[in-house]
Amino acid sequence: MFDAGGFADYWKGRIERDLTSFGDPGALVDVRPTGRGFRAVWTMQGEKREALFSVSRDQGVSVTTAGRTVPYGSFVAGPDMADLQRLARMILQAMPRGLFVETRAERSAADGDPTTSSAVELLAELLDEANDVATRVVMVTADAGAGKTYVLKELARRYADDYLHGRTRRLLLYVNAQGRSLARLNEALATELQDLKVGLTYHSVATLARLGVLVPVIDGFDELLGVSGYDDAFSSLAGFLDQLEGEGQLLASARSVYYEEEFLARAGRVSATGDQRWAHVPVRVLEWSEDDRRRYLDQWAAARGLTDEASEQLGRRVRTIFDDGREELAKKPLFYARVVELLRKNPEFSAGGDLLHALVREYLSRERKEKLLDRQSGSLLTEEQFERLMCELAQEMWNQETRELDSRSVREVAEFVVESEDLPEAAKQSVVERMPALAFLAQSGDDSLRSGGISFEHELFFFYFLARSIVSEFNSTSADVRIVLSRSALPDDVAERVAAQLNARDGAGARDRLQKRLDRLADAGSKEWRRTIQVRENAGLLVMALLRAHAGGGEDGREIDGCTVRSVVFPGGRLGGVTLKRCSLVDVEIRRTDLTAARFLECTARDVLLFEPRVAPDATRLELEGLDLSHVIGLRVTGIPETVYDPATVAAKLKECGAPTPDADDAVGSRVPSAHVDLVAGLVRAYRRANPVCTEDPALAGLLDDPAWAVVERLLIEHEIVTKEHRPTSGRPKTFLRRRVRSEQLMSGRNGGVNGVPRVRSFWRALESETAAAGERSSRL
Amino acid sequence: MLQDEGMHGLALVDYDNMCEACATGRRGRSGRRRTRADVERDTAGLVDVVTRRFNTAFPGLRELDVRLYGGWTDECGVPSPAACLVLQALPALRGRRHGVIVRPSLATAMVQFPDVHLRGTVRLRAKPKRQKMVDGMLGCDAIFVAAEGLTRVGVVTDDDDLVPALLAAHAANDTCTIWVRSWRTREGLNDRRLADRGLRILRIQEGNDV
Repeated sequence: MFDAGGFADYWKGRIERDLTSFGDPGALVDVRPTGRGFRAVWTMQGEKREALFSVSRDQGVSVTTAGRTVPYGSFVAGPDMADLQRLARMILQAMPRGLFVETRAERSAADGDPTTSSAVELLAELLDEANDVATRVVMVTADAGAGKTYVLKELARRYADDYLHGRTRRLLLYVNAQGRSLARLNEALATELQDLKVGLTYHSVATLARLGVLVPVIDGFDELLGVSGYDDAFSSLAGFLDQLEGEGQLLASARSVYYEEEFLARAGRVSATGDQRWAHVPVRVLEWSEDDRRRYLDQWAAARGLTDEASEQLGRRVRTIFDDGREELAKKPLFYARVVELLRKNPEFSAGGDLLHALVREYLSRERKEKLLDRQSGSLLTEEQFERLMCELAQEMWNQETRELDSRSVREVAEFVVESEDLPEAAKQSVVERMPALAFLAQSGDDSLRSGGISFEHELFFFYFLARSIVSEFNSTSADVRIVLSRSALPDDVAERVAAQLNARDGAGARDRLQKRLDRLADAGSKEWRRTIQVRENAGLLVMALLRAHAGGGEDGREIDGCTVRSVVFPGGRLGGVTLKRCSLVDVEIRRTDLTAARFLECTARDVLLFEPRVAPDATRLELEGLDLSHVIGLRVTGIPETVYDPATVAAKLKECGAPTPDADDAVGSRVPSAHVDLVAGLVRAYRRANPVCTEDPALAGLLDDPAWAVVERLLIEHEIVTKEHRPTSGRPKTFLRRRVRSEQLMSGRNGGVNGVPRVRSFWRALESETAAAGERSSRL
Repeated sequence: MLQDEGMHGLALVDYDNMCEACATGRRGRSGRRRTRADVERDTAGLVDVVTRRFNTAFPGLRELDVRLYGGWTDECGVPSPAACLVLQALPALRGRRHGVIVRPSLATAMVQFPDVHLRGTVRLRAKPKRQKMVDGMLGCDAIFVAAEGLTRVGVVTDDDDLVPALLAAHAANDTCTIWVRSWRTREGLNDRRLADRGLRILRIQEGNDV
């Protein structure tokens, strides 16, 4: 940011940048030094503005304009600039108060036990904590249907209410990245501000966030990944972090921890300026407990004026639905709320094995019989036709890489379906007109740009119909599955559902059919293409789901014998209790996948990369003949809190899992004393939470106080693995170490791993020779 | 040679150079400050006409990424006013047009280096304001993408500065590179040489190909 001598220059540039984001398009901001600060002149809405900025290291920045002096943050948030009061009113208008049951969340701690409390309160506490070292990136993860959006919207609504009542000086800007075809974060911000009809531009969001008066909340960050590709999406978030210059906060949500980890691994590498500073706080929204469900039912019943007895009765019926192995689903707010609603309307509702399927069937049936009627009260569509309509809509959304279609596209889809079903003209018109009001669907705002946009009311409905359309693609021998797999990150729920549906139809010859599907997915992933990475990851997700489904699902499934899995990437997730016997793995990348219950027996491996998979030596079997130790980058071992990178330990753990690897002593590429390796591994762990890391961080005390640290640090700096920076914080300047390579590259470089970076290899060689020389000297003494 | 049979196209559009000319028939910059409505209308017109032209140039095209090149970032890394206006127009333009899935986006980084967001593609502090690196970025992208051979590439510009890059892109992949120009452009000085080399030059209004 700035050194001691550059304090004034920094503030001159910063005031200029900040004011530019509020000024008229193209108008320049003139900032000139005065005795104790700066005088700025700019134009806003055609009017000339002027203010005096007083800059002090101890007291911060204050602004005098029109005879009043206020802190910088208040000035920028005030009615003449960003007008956050108006933004708060518009947020409240866009998010009316609804039925809200406190959902719990868990905050992982770097050291010690995780904290669990109300999600809204936990996030509010986090946002209110002092934060003077780096931009805090709070990543919220939860499964589909577990209530992330519900929590984040409520949080934004409460902050807006508190802001208007003077209880906070911070606002949250909720940005829904899930429902729109947004290529990048800046586009998501611009669109949200446009929808709220406030006169802010998206780059003024960075200014407001830097000052701590606005926190962008990006709901569904992982949804941005597909539209523009991985690197673009990650770099758009990293680019925004650059603009925050190590200040402010950002809240982002994703369904899967996998994308959170991918971001953390890439952040820093994709920084445009190399000046990014962030600290990561993971928060996981937890599923509903029995108490949460009870509270929901009480509130729901009270809102509808149900008697205690009726409410009790309804509660008993709801519990019956979730009995028989479906208890897990009751923990997801979506399922619980929908079942309550359906049982109130139809006490006879009952579910078979698949609750989502039963819910969809119930909605389809009601819609067809009660709403989609012709003049003679006959149904306009059969259930199959209605379902096909929904599947086509889901498929078109998937193809367009969006969750929302404009009215023109919706009409085209409806016309295509009704015409191919050969319905009478009157029915066609009726169906097309009623599309926005049909079950499963919701209509978006009525602004000029998104007039009449249609999305699925909940992502799980979208997943349900998308899965059915992907199954159809699979069942069609002529369809190119590469196209469908290239769109965006396939949700786990969709992969699971596709695999279950394909597997359910298999009887005799199931193994051959499984192999054919694996081959088809392999062919999709083996062709070099502009979206090869996406295709291989989606294909890998489907392969895992197919293997689990074929093995029977549970933790102790039946063996799969003699299959070949090739040309895919397993993107996180879990393989479950799959046992692969005498199978071949060719050109397969297993990235952070949970293999704790998986067993590879008498298998062969060619060009297989294991990247931080989770293993349990007492359960995981990795009998993979041909597995190359240099292709194993880190292991997460049950019982060991941190990822293991040290090649000797990795080799030992792999051996415990049955892998035919060399002995631990032979596995080490460079002979660096384990004490020094541990120091590097400790630094790598610190980089999982932040980059750069502050040398005064108490969590690093044991590391940096170690007598061996001096040589490790010197060599890290000499080989440009890290750089040392001195930065002012709210108090005196502190020293930071910035990572310049990815963590896994640093650790795998020790034995010349596949992601080898020349300067990392030379760092390890230098560390080996220096420690060896030091050892010789001490032995001579 | 092109390996992808999924029929994907990539239009590299010199935005300021082409936008007004394509959408309203005015050539180049009119000097008038453009309003949000102007930008929405002109960008929509440009994306539409580019899609139609690619659709006829590459029959069977299923998807088209339209990268708009312009002065999107100032010297401080702050998005330019033009970038803010165009960015707001993009989500509404994304979707199916003429049967093709169209994805327009602002090119703020090169295809080869998506993580390097180039600063100063517009110099607001210079008098007069001017663009920098835009042609270079577009030209390098054309060559890089053509050499990859994974998509159909079209450069949409009236600017002769991009002729060398077009020739190099065409040399890298001679079956899938086109140059799309405004209908008002007269025959260029090098058209014949380019045509002799096999580069297809199309006028953006159909039926007026060189």
